Amino acid sequence: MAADLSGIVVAPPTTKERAAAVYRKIRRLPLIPVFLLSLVVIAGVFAPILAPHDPEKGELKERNIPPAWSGGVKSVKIVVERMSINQRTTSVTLADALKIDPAAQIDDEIEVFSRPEGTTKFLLGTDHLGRDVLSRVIYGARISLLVSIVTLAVGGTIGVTMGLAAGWYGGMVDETLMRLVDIKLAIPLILIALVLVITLGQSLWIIVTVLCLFIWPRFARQVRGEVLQLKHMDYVSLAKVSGASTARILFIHIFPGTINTLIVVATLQVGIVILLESTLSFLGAGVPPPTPAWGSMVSDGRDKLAGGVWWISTFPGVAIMVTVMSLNLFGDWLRDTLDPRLRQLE
Amino acid sequence: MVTADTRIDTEVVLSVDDLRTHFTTRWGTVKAVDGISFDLRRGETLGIVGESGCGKSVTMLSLMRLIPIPPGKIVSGSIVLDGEDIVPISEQEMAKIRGSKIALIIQDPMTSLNPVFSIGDQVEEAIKIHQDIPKRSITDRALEVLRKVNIPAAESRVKDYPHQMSGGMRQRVVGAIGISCQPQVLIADEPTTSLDVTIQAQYLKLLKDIQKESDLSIIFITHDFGIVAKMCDRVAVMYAGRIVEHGSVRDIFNNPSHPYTEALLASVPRMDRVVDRLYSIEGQPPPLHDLPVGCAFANRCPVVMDKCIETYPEIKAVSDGHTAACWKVE
Amino acid sequence: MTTIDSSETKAERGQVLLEAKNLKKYFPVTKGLLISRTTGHIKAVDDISFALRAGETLGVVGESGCGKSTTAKMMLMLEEPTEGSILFEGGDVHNSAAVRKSYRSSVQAVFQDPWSSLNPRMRVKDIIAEPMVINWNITKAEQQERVMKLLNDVGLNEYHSNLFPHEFSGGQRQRLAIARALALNPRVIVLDEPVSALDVSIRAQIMNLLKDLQETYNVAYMLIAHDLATVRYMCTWVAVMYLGQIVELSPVQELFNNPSHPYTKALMSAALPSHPDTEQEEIILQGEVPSPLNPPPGCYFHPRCPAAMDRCSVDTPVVKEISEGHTLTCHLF
Repeated sequence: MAADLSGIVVAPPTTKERAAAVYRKIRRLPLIPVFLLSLVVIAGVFAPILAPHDPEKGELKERNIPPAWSGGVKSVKIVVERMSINQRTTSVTLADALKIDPAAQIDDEIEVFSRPEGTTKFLLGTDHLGRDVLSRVIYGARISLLVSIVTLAVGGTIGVTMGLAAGWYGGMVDETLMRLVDIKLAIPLILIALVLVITLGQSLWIIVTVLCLFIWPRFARQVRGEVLQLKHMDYVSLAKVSGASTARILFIHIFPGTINTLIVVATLQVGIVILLESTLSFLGAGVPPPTPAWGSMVSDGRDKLAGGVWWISTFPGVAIMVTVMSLNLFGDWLRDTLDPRLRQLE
Repeated sequence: MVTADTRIDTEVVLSVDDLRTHFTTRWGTVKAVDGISFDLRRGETLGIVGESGCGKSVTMLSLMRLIPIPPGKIVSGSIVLDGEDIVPISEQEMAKIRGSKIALIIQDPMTSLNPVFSIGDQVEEAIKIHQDIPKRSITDRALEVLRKVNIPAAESRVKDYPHQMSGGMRQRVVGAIGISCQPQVLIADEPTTSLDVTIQAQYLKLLKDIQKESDLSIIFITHDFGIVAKMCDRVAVMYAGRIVEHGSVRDIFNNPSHPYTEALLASVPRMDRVVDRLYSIEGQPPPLHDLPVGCAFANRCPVVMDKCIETYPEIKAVSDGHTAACWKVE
Repeated sequence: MTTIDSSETKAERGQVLLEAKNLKKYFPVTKGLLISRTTGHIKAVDDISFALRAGETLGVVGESGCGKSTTAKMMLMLEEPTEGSILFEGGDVHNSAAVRKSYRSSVQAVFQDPWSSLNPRMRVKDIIAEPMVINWNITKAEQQERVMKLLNDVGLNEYHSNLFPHEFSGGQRQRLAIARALALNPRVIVLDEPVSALDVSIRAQIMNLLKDLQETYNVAYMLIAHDLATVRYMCTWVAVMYLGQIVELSPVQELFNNPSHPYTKALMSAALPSHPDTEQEEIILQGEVPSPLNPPPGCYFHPRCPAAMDRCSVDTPVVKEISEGHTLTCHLF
């Protein structure tokens, strides 16, 4: 070829340059959220290994034990031979008193734990049925993960397919699908979930179905928007000029272009799914007991909060909050990193 | 037409001396403009020509003091406008000068007008900022300016919104805003690239008429030697942040003395004659954050010498008023 | 077709490869939200005919909205003509599936924007090989071998085949786009403003490359451009379009020596000079291009024409040949 080309050869980047590029990428990685999310994922995956106890069985006599670090509450009671119900708060039976102090006698005053002391056997305490809170929180991560993955896979696939079709074909297809999105926005899904549970009984599949119905429109909208932009790119026209089929164009040229957006949407949606699953579980329309779900655990501990038994609700509540917040922070970071428009502003 | 030679006597309105504007980026210091000097006389048109990334747009932003700080900074040099150096003055003082003494017309007529205000409002706004005159006269003045840029039926079009106008008309409104406060210097940054050729011809003629009428000095920022040939009295050719050749338009076209200017002129197809094969400049300009110590054009230059790679050439006079930064010039 | 070697399919220079006859493209303008009705048509392309010849370049010039891009899209089968036919290898593209199939692999394109014409998520080798993957039944190794040859043809090298488009400059990306367009040994390449997005010093590189490739492969180019100087350098034939019609069609030398249609003259006088001392006739056209929705009666150009006569606003001029191959649509002739 006659054209002069000597100057246009690009030198391959050196190892140092590559390393610098990788460093720039991870420099602002949100380390704390990523760490917390990994904890949740590890907990979910390795729950049977990590959990110290069976999350669904407990000894009633070990109920309401506080977390390991909290001491018990002591009060002075009178030792009586026999106790009637109305003496419960002020008295203690001789048999019980002898366990604490072998020298106890009737009518003695004795210091007794009105609430037991924490023990390292149950690091985060036990619930009202004597089940280990830590084990239940760990297994709860598993349920949240399972529900999120199934929901994302099913709801995401439906949404992406709809979005691709709406964006590519436009016209009536677009109109119909986008009206479906509007209809979804007008339906009170929580109420529907409650009605379904009342009529069909509680099951994991009902809530997964409801959650799928809840999340697909977001995927559909985002993908449709991307497709509307991408289908006017010259490389799509050039693929058509070369005789590429619609399927090839959609899956080779258009769909890969939406993946960045999908990752971001998925990350942010997982947070919403977990929150919603918890809400449904809290309302009793979620994962059926005794399976440990964070939402139902919060609900379990709700009426004991007044009695100073705070740990049953608090720990799963913290787990929900930390997970969702980490997901949102991570999602924001992903969006900033993956969005080429923002990348240019750096 | 008044030629460059007859302008030597007129007064200098803008004098740029050793201007350097650098940007701090993660790749290092980008020397976007690195030591440029030129004078602009009253009523004269100076063309600043170069390819993308040569620093011509940063020059324009520096003259308007619109460099984003950080990452950018005018690190040294002076810009003397109407006797006053505008580099050290405060942003408030500069805001008064912008529009009234030095004005700007930019490339894209779509984004330089606000879509939610009528064009009359936008011209009036520009006048109001700088001139303390009653509302009545502002309206009159706006109309007068719009007539000056040949907006047909200006009285009825002042209430139009930008989207109701064609690209050519919108660019005229931008021009009207530019000249509304009778600036001394007008910087036109590729004002016609988005226009069709016949509309471009109308617009360029209009600019010339306005210039003749008000003795305006114009700086044309462009990559197109055609615009230079048609509009400019003098030309500064920029490459990698510096002016490599500077002279009257005829000097540059008839006797290009820097190999870059020569190559650039030879690589443009011509309408007036058959060219068998265009000269093609090899390679690409060097990245501005990693400029060589010697001449930045050395790696693409057909007549490169050892000296060129070692030391940056001084600016030397080719003839009266014609300079070039090349070791080849004796 | 599975042949990689182009020599046997090489057409003789000047042989007509493709003919467009009376092409029209009308876009309906609709009104109404629920029940839409057509209120008119935008006549984007209104009855144009031309031919593309092996080893030659037809330049199509005109201002925005003149229909040159729509014409290119019809030639690339991205838009269906409202009326008219495209004849290729003796058959009508829109009537025969067999002709259409061979047309698809024989007509390729290079677009204006090198940033949008390469899929940013594909490696260079996959971008260039894509037309072969779709149209040819050849092995991966054969594809890769041809990719390397194409890269060499456009002045890049094997190292580039594994990179992604963002690692290239605008000029290099345009080279990649050209390599891809050449992949199927096309007979015709539609070039839609291939250099206008590039820097001045890079434009010459690409124009020279295109000329060299034409010489080597004897491919026909249809060059869509707005710059007359580029057209003069690149083209053998020039068609000047105004409001969807070809107002003048001529061999390039004849057009520049003897521009005849008043619009062509105006376009030439409005073009920027190549030298400050260039003498140019001052024809500044009044007003702007009318809307193609309501083109003026008679000759579409008459409201802006400096030489308009009474009959121009009434009679529609017909195509006349004033010298060999030089045709125009004007009442003056």
